[in-house]
Amino acid sequence: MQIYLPIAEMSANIFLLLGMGGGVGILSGIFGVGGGFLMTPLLIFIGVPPAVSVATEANQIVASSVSGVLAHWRRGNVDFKMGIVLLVGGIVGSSFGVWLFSLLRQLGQIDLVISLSYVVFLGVIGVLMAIESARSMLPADRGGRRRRKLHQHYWVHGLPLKMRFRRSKLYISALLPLGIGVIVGILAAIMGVGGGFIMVPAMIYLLGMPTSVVVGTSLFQIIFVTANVTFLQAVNNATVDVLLALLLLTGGVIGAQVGTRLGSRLRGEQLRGLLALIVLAVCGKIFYDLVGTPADPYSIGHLVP
Amino acid sequence: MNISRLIPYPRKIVLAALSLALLSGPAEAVPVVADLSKYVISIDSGFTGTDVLLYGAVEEEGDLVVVVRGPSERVSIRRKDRVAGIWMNQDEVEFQDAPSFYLVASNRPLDEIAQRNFRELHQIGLDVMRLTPVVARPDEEVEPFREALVRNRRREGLYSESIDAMKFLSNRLFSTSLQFPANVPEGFYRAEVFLIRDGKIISAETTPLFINKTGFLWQINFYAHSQPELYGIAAILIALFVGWIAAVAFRKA
Repeated sequence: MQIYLPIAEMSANIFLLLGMGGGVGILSGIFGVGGGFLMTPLLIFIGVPPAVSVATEANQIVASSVSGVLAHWRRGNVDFKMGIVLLVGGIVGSSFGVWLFSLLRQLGQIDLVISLSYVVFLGVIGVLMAIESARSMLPADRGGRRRRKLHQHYWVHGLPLKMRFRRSKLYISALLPLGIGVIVGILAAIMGVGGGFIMVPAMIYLLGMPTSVVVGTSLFQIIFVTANVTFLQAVNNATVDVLLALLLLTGGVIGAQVGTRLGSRLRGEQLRGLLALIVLAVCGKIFYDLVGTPADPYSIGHLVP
Repeated sequence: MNISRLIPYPRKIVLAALSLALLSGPAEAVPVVADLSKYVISIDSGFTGTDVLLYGAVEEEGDLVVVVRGPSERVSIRRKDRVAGIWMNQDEVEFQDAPSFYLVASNRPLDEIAQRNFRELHQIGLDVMRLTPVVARPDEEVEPFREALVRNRRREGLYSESIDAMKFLSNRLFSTSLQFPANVPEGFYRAEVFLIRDGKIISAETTPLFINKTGFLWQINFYAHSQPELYGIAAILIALFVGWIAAVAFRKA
């Protein structure tokens, strides 16, 4: 059954969209990842204009993060003070990101920048995940993991503007979470992702936050940053397709529940290896589209208002 | 949209008058009479394109050509070049008056019907489409971009040229099926029927056509452009609500 997407201005199969939402939802349920970094490229692959894909995906992430954060909140796994500092940076970064997005769109380079960002980030993440899953599948390494100390001191602890974060048991410079927030905000605006895949490792390894509060706190920040991206994209570029977002959401919400249940039954290392392969395949396809000779080097740009 | 409802009526009356004239006296006959099977195309959420039948009668011999044009718009065409192994947009030409939709159908090849400068004057044929660059540049630089616009729009189904789609049912009656794809832009369209003989227009008739986005979908698109702030806030509120519902619904799980 075909449905006409009012902002993307194209017809798409409603079951394909629900299925994409469901499929990415299952993956995010199994692995606890947001899924934006897979959904945005998939939307581009089926022909949704990249600018619409990015802005619409930001809108979808608002919803998936809300349902995620509530569970963490009930268990007290959200460091609100840290979340707000990350958020201040996130608002600055995402506002700058949308401004940059509009500028690149006028210059006709936004599609290229979106693709290049994806090639770099998916490539790095895919390789890291593949290495980690390969390592964990080696029997010799089993149980031999070493954790980094929480209070190891290096250059970042010399920065000014120190703040105490009780929930995270940290006394560190606010500049650090602010900076992380800014970078994640820019990525959210340009790539249509929540940025959890950057923020979570940064919170663990750079800030030294306890892993129990990391996911809840990042989801808290992601809600407001993606809401800011949604609003600014709607105002500056009119690229948010609520109907598309709603369809992806419906599939995504159900898929995430299925994924959570599946995830507890399946073996983690092999699944992680599978996700790494999917990420690398998507990365490869985007890269191929950038370097392969296009069928027609000429294209119609977006209409100048 | 009241306009869409108003259009068909006056024309139906005109058509009735014309067919009466056609029946009453051959001496006063109009050389060509044409009409469409519908005057309003509504794009709703299930729209996958539609066909409109153009039909009519001719009183004199000649070739028949129909040209359907959508509203003109400003358009930019970009060319990708290889930079450090990656294809990126480099050169760009903007045209200020590109038709958003253009369809031409005839009973035989256009260049057999009339000469190029005649077709250029009356804007009949994709090869003579008038496109004015916003910034003036030499013709040889603009030409590839002009061709690229036509090629891209043909691929999207928005421009088309069919040299045998116009069918004569008898000596006098003719019909053709005008195809509008799913991505057809909204606005006022014009269907012009030309009766051409010896490189001259014997008669012409213009029929308007209105394409609009209706209902829920049209409103989404409308508010996204007319009230972007409210639209953005609504999009966020919907997402917050759905996310909350999902969390509550699956709480036990």
